[in-house]
Amino acid sequence: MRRQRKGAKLLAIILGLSLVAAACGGDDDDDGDEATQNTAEEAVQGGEFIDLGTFVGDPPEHIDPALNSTLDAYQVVNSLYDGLTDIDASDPENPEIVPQVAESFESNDDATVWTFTIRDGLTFSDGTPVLPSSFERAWNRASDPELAGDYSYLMNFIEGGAERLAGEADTLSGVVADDDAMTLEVTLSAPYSNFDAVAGFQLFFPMPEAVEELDNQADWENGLMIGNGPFMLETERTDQEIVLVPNPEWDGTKYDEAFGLPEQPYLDRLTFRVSADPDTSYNAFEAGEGMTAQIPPGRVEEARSNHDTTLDVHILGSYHFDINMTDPVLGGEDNKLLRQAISQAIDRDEINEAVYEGSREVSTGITPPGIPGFEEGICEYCAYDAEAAQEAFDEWTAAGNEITEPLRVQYNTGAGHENVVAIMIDNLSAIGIDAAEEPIDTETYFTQLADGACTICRAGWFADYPTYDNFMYDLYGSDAANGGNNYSQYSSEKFDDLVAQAKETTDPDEQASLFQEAEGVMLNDDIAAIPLNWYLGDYAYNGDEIANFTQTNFGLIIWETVSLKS
Amino acid sequence: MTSYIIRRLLLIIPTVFVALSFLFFLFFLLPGDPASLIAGGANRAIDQGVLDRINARYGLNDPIPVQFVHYWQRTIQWDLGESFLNRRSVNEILGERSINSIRLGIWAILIEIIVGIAVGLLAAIRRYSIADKLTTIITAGASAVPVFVLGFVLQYLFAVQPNKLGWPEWTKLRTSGLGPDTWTFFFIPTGEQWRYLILPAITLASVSTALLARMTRGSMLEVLRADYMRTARSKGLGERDVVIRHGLRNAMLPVVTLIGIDFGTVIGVAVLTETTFSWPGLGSEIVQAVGQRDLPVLLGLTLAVVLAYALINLVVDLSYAWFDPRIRLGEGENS
Amino acid sequence: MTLTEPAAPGAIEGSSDFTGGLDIAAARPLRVDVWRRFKRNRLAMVGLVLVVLLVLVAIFAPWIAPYGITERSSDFRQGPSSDHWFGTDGIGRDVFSRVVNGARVSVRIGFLATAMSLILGLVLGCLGGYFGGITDTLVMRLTDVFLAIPYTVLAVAIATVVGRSINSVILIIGLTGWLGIARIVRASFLSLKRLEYVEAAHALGFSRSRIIMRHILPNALQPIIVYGTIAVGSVILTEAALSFLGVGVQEPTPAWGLMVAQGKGNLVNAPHLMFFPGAAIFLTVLAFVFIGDGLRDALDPKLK
Repeated sequence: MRRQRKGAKLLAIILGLSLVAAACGGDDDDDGDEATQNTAEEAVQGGEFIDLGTFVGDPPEHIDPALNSTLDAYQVVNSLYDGLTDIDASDPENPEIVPQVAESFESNDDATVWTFTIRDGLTFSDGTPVLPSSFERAWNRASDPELAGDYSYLMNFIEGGAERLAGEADTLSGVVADDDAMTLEVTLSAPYSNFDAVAGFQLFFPMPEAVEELDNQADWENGLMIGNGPFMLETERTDQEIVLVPNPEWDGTKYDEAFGLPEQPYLDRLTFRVSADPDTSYNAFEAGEGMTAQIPPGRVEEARSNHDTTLDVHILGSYHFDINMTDPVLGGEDNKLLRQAISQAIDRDEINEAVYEGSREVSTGITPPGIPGFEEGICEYCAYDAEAAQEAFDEWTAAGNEITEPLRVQYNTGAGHENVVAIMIDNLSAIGIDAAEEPIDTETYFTQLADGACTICRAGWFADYPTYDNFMYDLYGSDAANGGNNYSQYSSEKFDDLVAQAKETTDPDEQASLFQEAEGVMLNDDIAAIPLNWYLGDYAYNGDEIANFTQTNFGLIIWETVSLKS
Repeated sequence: MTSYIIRRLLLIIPTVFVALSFLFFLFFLLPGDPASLIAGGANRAIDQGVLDRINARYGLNDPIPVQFVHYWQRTIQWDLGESFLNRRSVNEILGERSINSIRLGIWAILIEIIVGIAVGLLAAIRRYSIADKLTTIITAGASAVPVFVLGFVLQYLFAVQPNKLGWPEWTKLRTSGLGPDTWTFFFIPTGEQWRYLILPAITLASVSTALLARMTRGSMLEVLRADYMRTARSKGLGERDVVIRHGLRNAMLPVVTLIGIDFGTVIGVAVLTETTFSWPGLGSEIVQAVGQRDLPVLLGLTLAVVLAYALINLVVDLSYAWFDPRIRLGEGENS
Repeated sequence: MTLTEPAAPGAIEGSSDFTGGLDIAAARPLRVDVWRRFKRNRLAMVGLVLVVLLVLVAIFAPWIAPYGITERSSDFRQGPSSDHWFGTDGIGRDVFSRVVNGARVSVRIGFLATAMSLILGLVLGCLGGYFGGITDTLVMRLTDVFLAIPYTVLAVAIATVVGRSINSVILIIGLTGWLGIARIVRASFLSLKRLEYVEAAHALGFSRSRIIMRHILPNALQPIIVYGTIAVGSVILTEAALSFLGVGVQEPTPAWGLMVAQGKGNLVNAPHLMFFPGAAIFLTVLAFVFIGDGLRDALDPKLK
């Protein structure tokens, strides 16, 4: 999913998490704990909450689950809808997919047919019941070629999805809803053991009958969209703000107790205000006009010392550079030493300190912590070691290789990457590698990379849904080369086989070790990427006024549990 | 007079047509695939199926001339289309945004006219005084600070700092947003509203106020030396009467020209102020529309700006006749 | 009020009287006594000294700057010190060295962009003003069209098409700055070409180009000189505005506007990031405004 922010426009998204447990149980090693304990003791207060930290830059393009593709707007979408499944991240080491609107779910042995049993007694904000057919309706709508949402391609997972998306079918043949038995049976187009995670993604949120009354489906989000989540729209959205109020039909106690949700959201009103500039958002916050802000680049220290922040939360995203494996100088088995030298020459700590003021976590792999199956320290060449880098480079040169023209380090302009690249080039020149920056306009950057223009190119990725697969198959699988997000044009049979095997494996531990092995092949045997850091939360908030403001590992604020202090 | 106005109104048509057609074709020269950018291609590679569906939805696969014809067929019926990006009706977006732009613009222009002319007149009448010299330096200085810097400094001084010092609520001005929407007679901020308006209005007015003061001073100095002024003085009129009755009116000609131009810029290109203060006006939306390849929004909003600009210019030209009866409208144009 | 404010962008139909009261008909060719009058204006002389200083700094930048523009130290965002007179930026580069080298960028952008709009404006203004008729109509409608299109749109479009660089900034400002000049020149021509000496030149059978170059242009030039001088300064402000919008010059080019735009958030925690390049912009713009004022007074003897 995309993160629609000026400072870090990156690909982004994530699964809706509504588990408070994550908020309370996690983060036991930092000062977030103190705040959490205080919360429990203080009486929760309602009131009006003004958020300035979510929409920074542009107003959200979409808040319709079928259309949205940004992490920012997902904050709203996730408050308006609840999905089939959710993630229980109460143990951050071992996040788990659990049923939410579904009471339970199961799959057959080869993970091709999934059956979700829907909870009784759930309603949309207009009072109509949430039924299996609500999901069928939503999915047929989301795969309507007329609607053409950015994520509509995910419907390819489902049997008949490709036909539906191509306009050759009116419904998804793989979906059978039985409202009497309250079951939703989904047949997939290929085995996929992580479909339970995907099924909780916004594209798969349910839709009430009312949506069918619209002439133009695109108008759904421009009116008072009806959902089954804890909040509902108070007024139609404008470019200036989105105003939510509690959905009286929603009752958090109808879900499993493990969710720990209140009967109703504490806040009486939740206003998301759009700021055109990160510094404006932050100034407005400091002037007391709102309760949250996004921390602007260069002001992390300032924010940390003056306010509470969510800088201690891992966000499921990776910031890295890809190396083009088909490049005559950089690619191929023969040039592995050069790639190793480059990776080891880069001082990731210095980049994190100088550019991000320590607001990222230096990474040891591509797949970030918080993804089921995550393992620390997969990458062998990611630690800064100028000597080893020098040796590797000398060895490579001794073998008769040379750099005839500066290696191009590419990045998209206007998103704050120039300083990272400046430090990288400085680091590389320290061991004698000649490199030069090549800024490319954001508008064409990723298209060019997808078409093979990458030499050493900046990339960033936020999980679409929290699966290891989403970082491996989508970023380095050979299917994703030539037009996809595999900018390295990395193509390894060994890697592809391991990933394919993992996708069919239903045992989580076995699956995890297969994925880890695959990542090791890509990072250590072949060195197709240079991981730099993992993202952390970037909200600043006023802890004197707000109780229980927590950003989950998935980037979301669980608004129904946020309350104000008296 | 009437025929002059009609002729001028007719002239707006080719101007609008050429301007928008120019932008239409310029759009297709911009690098980057619009469909890909609509689908978030500024952040990742996009699935081909999604691209195909977007292209089909917006007719982006049609030959450009066909799209061009379609565009004008829609536009002359005042159907500005649907935003590529958020699929809202452009007519609606235009409605919201132009109201915001006009309100901010009115106040910026009012500040400009009142402060600019007053300061300029004072400096001209008291030429060589300390006040005059200060005016020269301050007005030059005010136009030498980047607008966004001024905006952020004002935010800090009048909103952030009072809040940190714990001053009472009413002393704090607002840094961003439109405020509670409590306007009287469309443009008079009532209650809380003025606290939202004041900083952006001052920021937007800063540079043009300085320029107008300089212009007024120069123009006034010129007029004060003119023969008819000497005549007026010799007739025994008091200096104040001379300045106000004869001087001011004659000195207003270039001043009105400048104000007319400022109206155009206030509505069209107040991007920096709008961005700094998160004021959702036309300028910032237009600039974003170019960057994000949102063609209907770009063309729809620009259409309004071009029309407004042309109409305001017409009013300015008509006002010449009022300020200086010697000017005969229609003369000097295309002659 | 807007992006760039190069004095008044020009007069609307028929009025030429917008340069703060310069009577074109009475203007005389440049003479030595212009300099004498100019010298007496103290602010103008201050401006002149500043501009000379600016040009010298630009020429000798590599010798003045103690560090290279991309040279880094491990002190990030440090305030001014004896090692780094203007402090260091976010990745440890010396701000003083970058501001000094930024003078080169600013001088180049300021003069080249102004030159470009002057040439375009002069040529089109001359065409319209001298030939009149259909040529004039075309030129005036063209300026109308471009005045009506918000120029930020053109800025973003041009930057996107040609890529972000010093040259793209020059191109943007050059291509959008000529409108006012064309109008001034045209208006001057309209009033000048009816004057007796021009008609006399016609009667003597001089060629059109000779009449334009020798008889009309020199007289039309005077308001342009004033306008152009002030424009050089405001071009540097425009560069800052373009950087704020993300379509200015590209890192690591040390442009003042870019530095200011990048430091805009550090008003409190690292004000030196914005202050020093901001002061450089301020002084430069001021200097050109003062020179422009001085020239206007000096060129127009009536104002004495």
